[in-house]
Amino acid sequence: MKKSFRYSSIFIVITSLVLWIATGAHTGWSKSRIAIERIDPVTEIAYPVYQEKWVFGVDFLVVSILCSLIVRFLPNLIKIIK
Amino acid sequence: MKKIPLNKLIVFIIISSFAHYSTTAKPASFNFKDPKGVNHATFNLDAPLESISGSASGVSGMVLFDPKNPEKLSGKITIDARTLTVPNDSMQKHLHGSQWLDTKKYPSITFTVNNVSGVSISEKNIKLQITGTFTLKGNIKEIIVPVELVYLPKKLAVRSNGKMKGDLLVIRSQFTIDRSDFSIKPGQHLDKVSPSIDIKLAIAGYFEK
Repeated sequence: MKKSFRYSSIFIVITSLVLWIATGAHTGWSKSRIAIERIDPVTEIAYPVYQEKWVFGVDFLVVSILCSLIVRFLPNLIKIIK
Repeated sequence: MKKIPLNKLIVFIIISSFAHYSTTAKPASFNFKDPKGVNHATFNLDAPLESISGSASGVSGMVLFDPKNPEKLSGKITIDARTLTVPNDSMQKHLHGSQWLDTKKYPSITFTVNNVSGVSISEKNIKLQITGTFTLKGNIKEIIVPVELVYLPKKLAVRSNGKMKGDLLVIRSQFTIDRSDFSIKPGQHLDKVSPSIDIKLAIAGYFEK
């Protein structure tokens, strides 16, 4: 029982780390869209074009680590409550 | 009666017509409505983890401009505050909400030109200082902003793939405002979000001939 909780906790941390690195290891807040810079050839104005793309930020990592800690120590918590 | 030679008469007519044009020339009215979505204003607020930046593309307005007399520039630029976009959905909801910009109640951000000074003309551009009325979230304040103009005669045809003929006017500006001057959480969250907002404007208007 305890082992499965421990493994689940490790799985959450590894999965979130993989997702965070895969989406660019962004050190700011999570993003649901990204701005791509384009340049108008006539006026030479650089302007942003938004593209829907999920980028995981450090807020996601913090929440994932907290979740994994809760899962890791859930058996102990249940014991204390009982 | 003395006869005037035909060639001299033609030269006289041409010169007089040019003289008439120069004395009656009116500034061209440039339209800043941009269906291409190139015209935009970006904003940036410094914050501890990551600066909050976004842009608004809903630009419209008219500017009267005479390349021979840039100091006579006048007009008004409006930005649709509802088009403000930031990369984070929850941040965007906060930004448009009543606590921050309240874009439902105040959908327009405007800048009206009151006075032009410090004109410096170079081959590439025209630099000037504009004193204007800036309206944000219903608050009106007179500010002075540095502006760079690039006049592109006959470039409208290139930009519109030959559909229209005329000139282009590119306006660039960068300035800072204090959010407390515009009732945007005055004196609040100073540890989380900077009290000043950096604004950059890059827009192109067209004058169809």
